[in-house]
Order: sequence, then structure tokens, then C-alpha cells
Amino acid sequence: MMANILVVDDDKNILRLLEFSLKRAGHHVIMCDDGLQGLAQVQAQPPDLIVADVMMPKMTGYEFCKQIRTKLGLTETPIIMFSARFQPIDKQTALDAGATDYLPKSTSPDVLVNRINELLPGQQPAPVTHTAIGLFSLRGGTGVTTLAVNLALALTLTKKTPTALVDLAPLGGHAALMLGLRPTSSVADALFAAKDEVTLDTVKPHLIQHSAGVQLLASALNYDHLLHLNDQRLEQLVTVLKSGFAQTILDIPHLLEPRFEPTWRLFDKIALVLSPDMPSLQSAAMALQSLLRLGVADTRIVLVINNILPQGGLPPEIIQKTIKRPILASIPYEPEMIKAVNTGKPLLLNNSQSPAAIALIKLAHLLLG
Amino acid sequence: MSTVRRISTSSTGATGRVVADFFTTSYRFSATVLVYKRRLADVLGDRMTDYLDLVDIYISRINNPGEIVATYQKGSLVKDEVDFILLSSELEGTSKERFYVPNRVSLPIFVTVPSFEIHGKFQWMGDLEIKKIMTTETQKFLPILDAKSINAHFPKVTFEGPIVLVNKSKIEVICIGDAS
Repeated sequence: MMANILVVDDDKNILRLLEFSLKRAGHHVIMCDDGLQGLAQVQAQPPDLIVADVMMPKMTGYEFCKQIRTKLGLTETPIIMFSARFQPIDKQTALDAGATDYLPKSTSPDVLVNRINELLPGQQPAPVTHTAIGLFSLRGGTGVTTLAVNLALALTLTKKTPTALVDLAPLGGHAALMLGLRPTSSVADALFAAKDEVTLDTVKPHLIQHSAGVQLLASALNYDHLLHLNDQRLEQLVTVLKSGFAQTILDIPHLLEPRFEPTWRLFDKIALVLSPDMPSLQSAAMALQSLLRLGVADTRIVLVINNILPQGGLPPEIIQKTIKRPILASIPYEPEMIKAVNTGKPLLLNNSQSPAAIALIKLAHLLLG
Repeated sequence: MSTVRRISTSSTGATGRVVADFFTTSYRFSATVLVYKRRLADVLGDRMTDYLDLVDIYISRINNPGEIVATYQKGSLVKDEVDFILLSSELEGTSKERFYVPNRVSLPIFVTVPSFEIHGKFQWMGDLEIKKIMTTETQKFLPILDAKSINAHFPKVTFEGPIVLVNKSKIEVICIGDAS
């Protein structure tokens, strides 16, 4: 839908960039380089949506926003403020002034355009499809947890819908660590508390909220709370999470437990993760064969290469030829990944422009089809 | 390799300008520094001038740092009076003019300056003696990565960013390593 978008910013380079991005998205753009001009423009021709900078001469973006809401009485027009001031207090000040949303200027134009499209009047939110994605490798050390954590963040941030992340390691999984969280409860605790019937209400108290929006069900914290993968309530747990979350990511440990079999079939996608080396390739081939034997639909299994070393890996063509299946995605080696893991600040949040982060976002879209 | 453009970054690029937050004991100044073809770290380290040329200055009081109480188009900031500077990009906090040794280790660091406590990561190579950080490094400002600063008088007032540059002459205490 074409909309009239008013952009108010004193930086001519930014005006040009936004004009280009918004016109490419099919919108009509009106540009003003200060708040006073912006107010005059709004009175002359009320736009469908306003994008305004904060730091502008004559009138700050906050004041501009307040006047739109009070003096001009335009209470419903969405206003996105964006600024080089990127602290939480700045966002709160913008929201208090009447802004609908606040984005830092480090945001990419595509993300801004997507947000504009979501906020435009008459836009129906995209239908929510509930998807469970399992990440699995028979071989350890292929970075399954790292991918699961970043994929959960990618889905939460790009789809703007809730994502549950479940660390199914029987004991001592690392998803919480990678998210910088200190869990007080675990998957096993959630199952124990549920007794015979797992419901969303019994699971919710055990979910740990990450500031980016991911909700984590962490791995067991000590041996007394060990998770048994043959616990048949895991099937209920996946079903319940699928009903409550648009996306559920499950980090599956490196073993094939026969009684976990019905749960495999609940996954909408299983990403078989391998690193480009012979042992991993062999494990992936065996895992693929086993999953098919367990009755998992062929179309639900996808291959994802995680390049955990900077060089020397098997070429993708060899992997595809050996395993007789196309590779859905290849995540490039990322030297910053270890820092992200060590600091509990995932790559997707701290280095979102890196090639690996971009590949993960692309993978998130591919997995949701 | 695909690239993602940003609406704006603090990188100078062709504009020769860097947007940053400057903190003193009582104020937050969000402003643009004219750095021309240099990086902010090098402009700060330039001992030929005690001032920073600022444009588009937005002034907030530290007890309510979201509210802009005054704006000015031009100004000069006294380098020595700045407690620390918050940047949205690590790049501007590193020098283009000085030689950097690779393979530095990252160490937890805690410093206090008037009204603020700051913690984050500090990069260092070789045997660590805390006083060496203050004395042998010639730069006036100490880069702290993944930094969080908390106001001592208003602890709800916090600022976070990928890098802060702390004025060494304002540092009251410096501690390396994890808090015990």
C-alpha cells in the first residue's frame, strides 16, 4: 500500500537515503529539515506516518512530537523517532513525548522501512504461524547451541513475535551462558512441576526472559535435576510451546534417544548442523539416515553448514555430493563468535552487521519458508 | 559478501564528523565533533589543542539525561573537563595514527570518575601493572569496551555502549580483574 510518509531531519544525507529507501518501497515521501517546517507540513497535509530525528535545530524531535500529539490533535498518526542518542532513557523520553516507536540511527534502512510498513494504518499484522525448529548434530562441537541462540534472536528481532528457546542438553547446556542469563530453573524443573499434564501455565514460570525478547527454557543446572530425553512429557512440552509461541527453537543434544522418537515428528523443520570436516560429515549422514528411519518427513530435514574454523574445511560441493542433499545455508566463520560466547552477548545483538549474523538472519527466513 | 547499510553511524566517512555523547560531572552533551580526516581518538590525543570543536550540541542535565534543556549550533568543549565519552562505534575510539599491537588480551576493568562508575573490558598486551596503563600509554583517554556507566548519585541513570573513552586525568580508582 502506498502511503504518505513525512520525514523530518536536518541531515540532508539521511533525508536522501530515506527518500530513496521509502520510494523504493512504494511510498510517497515528503521531506522537511526542521520541526517547524514539519509542523506546517502536517497541518497542510496530514501524513499517514511520520519519521522524525531527535537532534534538530529550532525544535527537538521530542518537542515536535509533543506538538503533533497535543496542539494538532493527531493522536493516532504513527511517529517513529530515530536518533544517534541510543540509550534506553532516550527511547523512554521519545515514548513519553508521544512517539510510537524509537529506533537508533544505526538501524539499517530496510529495518526502518519494515517497521514503517508494520505501523501504517490499515496494515493487518502478518498471520502468525507456529513453528518448531530443532537444531541437531550427532557430532559435538559443531556449534549447534551457538546457532540455536542466534537463530532464536534472529527470529525474535526480524519477525517481532515471541520465540521460545529450549536447551535440551540433559545437564549443563550452554544456551543460558551464551545469552548472559543466570537460570534459576530448567526444562526438567518445568516437567517436574507439571506432573502429568504439561500446559503453558505450568511451563511459563520456568521460562527465563532475555531482554531481546527470547524466552529460554534452560538446561538442567545440577545432576539432581537431570533431564531425561526419554521423558514422554517432552512431546507435550513441544506441543504446548508451539501453541504459545510463534517460533520455538530446540537445541537438541548429540544423541538419538529412541523414546524421543515421537517428538522428532513434531518439528516443522530439523536443521542438521555440520561443520565442514569428515567426522562431522559422517555423523550428519548417519543422523540423516536415522531421522528418516524414525519417520521424520524428508522435506522437513535441512542441512546447515557451520564453518567453525577459518579455513581448510571440505568444499560445500563435496558435502552435497556425499550426503546427496542440497545445503540450505552455510554460516561463514566469524572470529568474533568466541568473544560473543565468552561475554554472553550474542553475535546477533553485538555484531549484527557481520557476515555470519547476516547469514543467520537469512537462515531464519529460510527456515520459516 | 552482502553488506547492510546503516541510516547513520558515528564513522566519519566522507563527512569528517562524529556524533558522540560527552559526559561531565553534571551534564550530558550529545554533539557532533568535527574530526576532518582523523578519528576522534586522535583528535582527543592531539596535545596542540585543549578544546574540541563541536556543532549541533544538545545539552541534558545528568539527573534527567533524556530531556534536552538547551541546544546550540556551535561550541567548544574543554577536553580536560570531560569525564568520559560514549561512542556508538568502536572504530572512532581507536587511533589511526598509532601502532596497535595485535593479540591483546581482554581484561575486566572498573574505574570511577567524578559521579560515575564505569566497568567493561580493557585490552592489554604483556605483563600487567595497573600504573603502566596510566603512565606509559601516551593517550589522554582510556578506551573501555562493552562499557556500562552508572551515575553514583542517581544509580538509575546508566549509559551503555560498545566503547567509552575515559579521561585518564579524571580517574579516581582503576581496578583490573573481576570483582571479588
